[in-house]
Amino acid sequence: MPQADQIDPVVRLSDVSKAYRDATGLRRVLDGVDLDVRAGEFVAITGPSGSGKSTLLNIVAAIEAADAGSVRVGGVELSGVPEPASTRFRRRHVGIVFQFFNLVPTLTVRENLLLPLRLNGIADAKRADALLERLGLGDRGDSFPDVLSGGEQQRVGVARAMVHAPAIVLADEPSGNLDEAAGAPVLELLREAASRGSTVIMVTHSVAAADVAGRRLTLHHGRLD
Amino acid sequence: MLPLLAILREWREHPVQGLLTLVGVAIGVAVVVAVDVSSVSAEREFQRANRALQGVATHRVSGATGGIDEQIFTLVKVRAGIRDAAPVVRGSVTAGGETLELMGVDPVSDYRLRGMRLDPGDAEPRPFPVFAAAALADRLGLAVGDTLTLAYGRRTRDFHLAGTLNADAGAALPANVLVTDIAAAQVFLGSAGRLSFVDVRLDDEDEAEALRSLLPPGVNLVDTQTRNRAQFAMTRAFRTNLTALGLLALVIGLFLIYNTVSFQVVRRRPLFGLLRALGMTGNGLFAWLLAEAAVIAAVGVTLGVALGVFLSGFLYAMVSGTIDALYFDLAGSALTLAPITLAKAALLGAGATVFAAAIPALEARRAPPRGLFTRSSQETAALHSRRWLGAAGAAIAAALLVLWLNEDSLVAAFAALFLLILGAAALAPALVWTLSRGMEAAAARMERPGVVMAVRNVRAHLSRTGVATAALSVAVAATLGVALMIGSFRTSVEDWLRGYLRADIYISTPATDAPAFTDAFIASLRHLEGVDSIALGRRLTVDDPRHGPVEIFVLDTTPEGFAGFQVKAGDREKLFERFRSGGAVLVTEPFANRFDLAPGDTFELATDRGPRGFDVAAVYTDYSTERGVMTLSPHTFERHFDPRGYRAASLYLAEGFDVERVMAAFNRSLNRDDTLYARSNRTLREASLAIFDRTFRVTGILRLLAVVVAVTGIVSALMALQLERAREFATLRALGFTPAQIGGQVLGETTLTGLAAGLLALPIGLALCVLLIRVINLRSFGWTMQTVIDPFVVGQSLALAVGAALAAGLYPAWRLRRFAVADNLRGD
Repeated sequence: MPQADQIDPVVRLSDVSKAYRDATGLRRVLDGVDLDVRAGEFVAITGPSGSGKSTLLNIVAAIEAADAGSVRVGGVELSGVPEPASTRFRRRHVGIVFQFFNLVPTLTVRENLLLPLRLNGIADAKRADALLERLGLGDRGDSFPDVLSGGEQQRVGVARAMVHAPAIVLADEPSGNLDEAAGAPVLELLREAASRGSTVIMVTHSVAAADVAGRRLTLHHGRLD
Repeated sequence: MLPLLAILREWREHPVQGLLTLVGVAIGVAVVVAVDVSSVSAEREFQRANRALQGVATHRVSGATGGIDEQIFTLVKVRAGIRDAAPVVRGSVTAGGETLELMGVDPVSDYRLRGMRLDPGDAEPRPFPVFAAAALADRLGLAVGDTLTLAYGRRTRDFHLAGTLNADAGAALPANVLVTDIAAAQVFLGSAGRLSFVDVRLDDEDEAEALRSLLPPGVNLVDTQTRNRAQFAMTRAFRTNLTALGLLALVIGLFLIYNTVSFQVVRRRPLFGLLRALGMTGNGLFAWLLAEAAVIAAVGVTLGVALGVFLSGFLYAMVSGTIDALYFDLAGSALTLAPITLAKAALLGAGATVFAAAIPALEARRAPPRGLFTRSSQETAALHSRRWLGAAGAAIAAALLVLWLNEDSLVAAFAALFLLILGAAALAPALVWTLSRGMEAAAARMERPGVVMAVRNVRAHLSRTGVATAALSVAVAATLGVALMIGSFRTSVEDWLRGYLRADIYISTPATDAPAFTDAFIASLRHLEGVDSIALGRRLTVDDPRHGPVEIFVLDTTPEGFAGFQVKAGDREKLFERFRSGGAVLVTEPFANRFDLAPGDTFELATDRGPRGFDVAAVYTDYSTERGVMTLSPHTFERHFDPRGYRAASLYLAEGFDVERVMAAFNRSLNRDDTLYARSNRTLREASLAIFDRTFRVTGILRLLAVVVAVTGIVSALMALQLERAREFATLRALGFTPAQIGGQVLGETTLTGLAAGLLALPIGLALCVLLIRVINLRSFGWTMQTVIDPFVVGQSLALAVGAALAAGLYPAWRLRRFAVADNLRGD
């Protein structure tokens, strides 16, 4: 059986459930979710705020564990993978795009891009430079994130998620914090990632953004339709 | 009110940060209160003890060295017509291993001056009665009527506890004093027909002058204020020590408060930006922040005073223990919370808190709302490197100028010391920035993103950590400076003892006013088997009307023994001959400093024949007393004073004789009743160094306290910083950093901050050491000493700074093991 950090990542979720305890009691956000995503597929998951979209992504990224059900990526059951193997899996096979960009404030734009490469022991800095050029940010490589516009920051965020050519790119409301003009290039980058063979799962509440994906699913009352 | 609610709710949302702020203010205040309460209490206790023995007397009639004829009392009472005059016969006695003072008084006249009542118990009147305060009687396990055996030199006698010594309201009871009648004291102390002194209350200087004109030569009328001034000088070394460390605690406390409070304001800049963007005016925000600071100050000062009083109990025990060991017994244990202490605490706590909040609050008031959201602007502002460097340069230049302009002033020396500290502290942010910048290239070459981030984060968070780093630097520097000074002092004392203590065995009486050796005893010493030669000595205190108590040392020694004097100034040519028979005297460095003397000068002193001039031939090194000593030969002494005999002897053994065997023989044949101390050279040297170490034990405690405050500052600053970086850590975890990697990064950052603080502390510490040795010690006590830089102490200080900062990172690093990544990805 392949090890957690050697898997071929194709996502399969079977009967996955997740609940949180809050002031009102136990709140079930995922209730028997089933999902299959093929390699190179771009899937958009929509749903109202609080429907569990981000939780679903976190479970696929091994950031959170499901309460019940099976989360198989590349044929390996992820929920049983302990630390630090789950972190190494994420580092090597997953790229994440955050709604609020989450760039490391003390690293320059270029260094933010180099971060996943260095973490994976890849010394090839040209890949980051080429990606920056392609994003039209070649002259901002030495800038720190807080002097970039929101659109620029998110383009760096997507580039960081793609730079080490991960098998899975997970995008959490990637354009949710941007206007249409700034959001379009971001979505285009995600589509490009899928066309290069990465599996892209994007959660969004924007119908327009979801239309860019090859397949669209809706999370409602904890279930995918 | 909603903006205020938003600001206040920040406290509820981040209770740990809020708690750290309050702890910062409270600890800063507590240290100052603890040092202040303990030193004020010790001083009050000293004054109380002094007042108890002196009462309302304005003058003392005394002989130059050895008491006065009892007829003097008649002269004072009858011829001079002084109503309030109290004769006293005094001596140091021992009872049950404890040294006590026996005072023979006339109860009626003494009551008028000292307010002490001798309340007799029910016991039958018997000869040799003694009265003691209830506390002392309890300590000795005595009840009224019990017998108490007192020893005075080789003489012992049974006294009986005849009653209790009580004081009128407002009067203080002397501790460790036994009171008897004059006749009993004269008999027991061997002072038949003599008095130690007569205390008098005079109305004015005319009355004093009239009395003075009636006194025979060798009998002086000394103003008690002159006496007290000299008495207080006894504890000057100790008080200087406490004052310096108290000031240090104050400076570090200020740093700590400034750091924690400004941090609390800086941390919430995005919220302030939002409130400003929503329409809150800059002035409104400023006012709210100052009001908040006032509340923090009120709570922090209250907690700090309570904690400080609690801490002062421990500190006072150390302080009074050291004073007991060195000067006199402080029997009282009541802590004095003086209004000035409370005022200082309130001023420090409130002033520093409001000031610390005002600086970032002013900046928040002026900055455009957008600017408040960005970190880079505040970090740049935090550095202001040129401004800080300018401030540092100005403070250090001012320190040097103050020293140069005031060659003798101790206050100026302290002012320079603190200017130097402040100047050096202002360098801390720039040094952290430079170190981080310098290491960045090396870190980049390692191609490990965690290392680059750690190095850069140190610089990036300067607005949060700059002041704490400075505080840590100052505390470590002070620790280093004081430790090096004490080490240098100890080495100098060791060297001095090695040269000075040349004899093999030292014999002495237990008290300085014990009976002198008899001629027969001295002859027996000379003939003791193994003894080659002996030197004899006696220390006396001359009650000089102008100078107060002046200590002199009569020394009958050989040229070999005399060679032990380390002459600092003066012509060594035929010095021994001039000393032995030429009337010249030698003075110690503190003595020369106290009376501004140099070789060739003449020092005028009261003698049994009236005031006489003594030619100072040389100044020599001596660390035995900071009051200073004048050493003179028996030949010189006997020209001006009545014979007194000797109370100390140094035995030089002949070749091949064992010290322990000769000491055993001495104890067997000449010290059967064990009334004399006999110590070998080694034991005496060890005992002297033990006293030295005990003197500086309280310094060690205060240094530790200063370090604890600084470490608390750096821990709270770094911990609060790590706590607010939750989102950054969550992102790193999501990107594939393991908890261990992020923990390592956090520890790397804090270690680097500590390293910067430690590196800065080294030159400041060395400068402080030099300043303490060459300026403050010299100006305070007149002692010069060598400067010894112990590499181990230097390394220890660096390790302390790094260790403290590393410790600050341990909790946040440990917390990362159970860090909720998902919860923090979106949060601020």
